[in-house]
Amino acid sequence: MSRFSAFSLAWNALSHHQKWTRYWQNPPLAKKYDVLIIGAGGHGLACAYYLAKNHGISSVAVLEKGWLGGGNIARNTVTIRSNYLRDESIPFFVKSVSLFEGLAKELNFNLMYSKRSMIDVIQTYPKMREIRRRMMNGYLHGSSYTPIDVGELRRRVPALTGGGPDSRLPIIGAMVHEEAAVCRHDGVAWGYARSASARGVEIHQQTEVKSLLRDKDGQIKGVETNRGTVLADKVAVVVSGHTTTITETAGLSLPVKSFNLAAFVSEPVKPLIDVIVNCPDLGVYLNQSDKGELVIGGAPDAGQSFRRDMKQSVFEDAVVTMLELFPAFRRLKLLRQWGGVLDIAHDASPIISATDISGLFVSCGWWGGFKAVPAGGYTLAHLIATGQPHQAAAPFTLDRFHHLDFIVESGTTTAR
Amino acid sequence: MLTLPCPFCGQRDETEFLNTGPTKPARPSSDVTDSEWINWLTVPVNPVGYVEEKWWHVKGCGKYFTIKRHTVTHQIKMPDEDSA
Repeated sequence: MSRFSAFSLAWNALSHHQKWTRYWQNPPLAKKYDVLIIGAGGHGLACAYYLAKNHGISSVAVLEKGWLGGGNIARNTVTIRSNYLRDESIPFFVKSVSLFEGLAKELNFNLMYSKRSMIDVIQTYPKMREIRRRMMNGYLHGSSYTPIDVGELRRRVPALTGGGPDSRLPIIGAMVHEEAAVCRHDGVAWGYARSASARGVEIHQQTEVKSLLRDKDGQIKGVETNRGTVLADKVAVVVSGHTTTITETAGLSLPVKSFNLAAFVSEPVKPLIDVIVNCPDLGVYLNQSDKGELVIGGAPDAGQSFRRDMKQSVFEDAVVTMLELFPAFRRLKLLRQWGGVLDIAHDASPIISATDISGLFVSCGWWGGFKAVPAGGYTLAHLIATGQPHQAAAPFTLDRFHHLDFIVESGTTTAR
Repeated sequence: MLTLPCPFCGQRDETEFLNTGPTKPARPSSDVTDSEWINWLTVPVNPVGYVEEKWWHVKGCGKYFTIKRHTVTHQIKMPDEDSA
C-alpha cells in the first residue's frame, strides 16, 4: 500500500495521476480461510481490519453480495455521536467516537471528519425531562450534553425561524452534544478496506452467500456462495437488515425485526447550518454536507420492510415537520431519496455476540450503526479472535435475551 | 399511498393505522422448557415475504385486525389466503 501524503500527491501529479495503485487487491477466491466475514460494509470491513491489526489473523475473507460500501454504510446520515441513555451504551459509543477522531490518521485516508456538535431542539416537557436524564448519565460516562436557552439556540442556528411562542409546539430549550461529528461515510468503508487489504485480508465483491453450512456436530464449517463453497471454522454475519435471512439458512432465529429507514437530500445551497440539528419531538434531523446539500432523515416505516425506498407518508411527515421549524426551506428542491434496511431488537440495543451455533458470530441490531463502526468492528474482532466478548461490548450479547435482562435504549430514532 | 383493508371502514389510508407488530404463535402451555418460553417471548418472525401482522385503526373506528403484508412489495392478503 503506497501511503497518501502531500509528497505522493505531487509525485503522482508528474505522471498525470495515471499511476496510483489500487486501494485493495482482487485475489481469486480460495477454498478455505480462518475467518469469513459476510458483508463488506462498515462493520464487516472494520472487523477484518482489527482482526489483522490487533490479533494477527490475516487469513480473512470478506464476502459481499453487491459492491463494497454499497449497503447501509452509504445510506446513513453520517452522524457520529454518543449521547445515549444507558450505563452500558454510553461507554461503548464514547469509545467509538474517540476511535473516529483518530481514524483518518490511522487509516491514512481523508475521511473529511468534521466535529461540529449536534443540537437537540426540544419542544415538549416530557422530552426535556428525558433528555436531562441523558445529560446527567452522559456526565457520568464522559459524554457531554449541555443545555442552552432558546435565544442561544437561535443565535447558533439562524435558519431556525419556526417554533415561536404562537406555534403548535413552541421550542422550550435545546441541548448541545459537543462531540458530535460528521464524516464521509463511504470513505470509512474504502479506508478500512484499503488498510485491511494491505494486511492480507481478501475482499470478494459480487460473492453472495446463499446459505451457512454446518458439520455433523452442528459446528459451522463454511458458507455456500454463488461462486462455490468456502470453508472456515469461524463465520461472522455482519449484513445489517438481512441477518435473519442468512442465519435462518442454518436454522437460527434471532430476536430482531427488519425495518426500512429513509433519508433524502436537497439541492446544494450556500453554508447555512454548521451543526447537526435533531428535532426529537417532530422526528426529523438534518445536517448540511460539504457539497451544501441538506441531508434530512425522518422516522422509520410502520411495520417490517425490506424495501430500501421511501414511503410517501414518511416523506410527507418529515417535510411537513421540518417546515414547521425551518419555513424558509419551503423553496428548496429535493434531489434524491433512498432507504436502507436495518434490523432492531425490541430493546433498541445492538447485538455483538456468539450464537448457539459454535463458530457463528453475529453483529446486528444496529440502529444508527454508522457511529458505531470503529467500536463495533473492534469489539467483534476481539470476540472472534479470543472467543470472549470485549469489555465494552460485553452487555450486548444474546445472553441478555436469555435472561430477559434488556438494555432499553432511548437515544435512537426508533425510540420516537 | 399504501391503503389497508379495515373490516369495518373498508380501504383506508395507511396513516390512519398503527402497526402493532407481527402476530405471535399461540402461547405455549406451562410445561415448556425455559429456552422454548424465552424463544416464544423474544423471537419475532422476520420473513422476506408475507408477514402476518396486526394493525389498529387508531385514527378511525378503533378496530384491530390481522392481514398478511409482503415485506418487499407491500402486497396485502387476508390471513386465510395462501401465503405462497
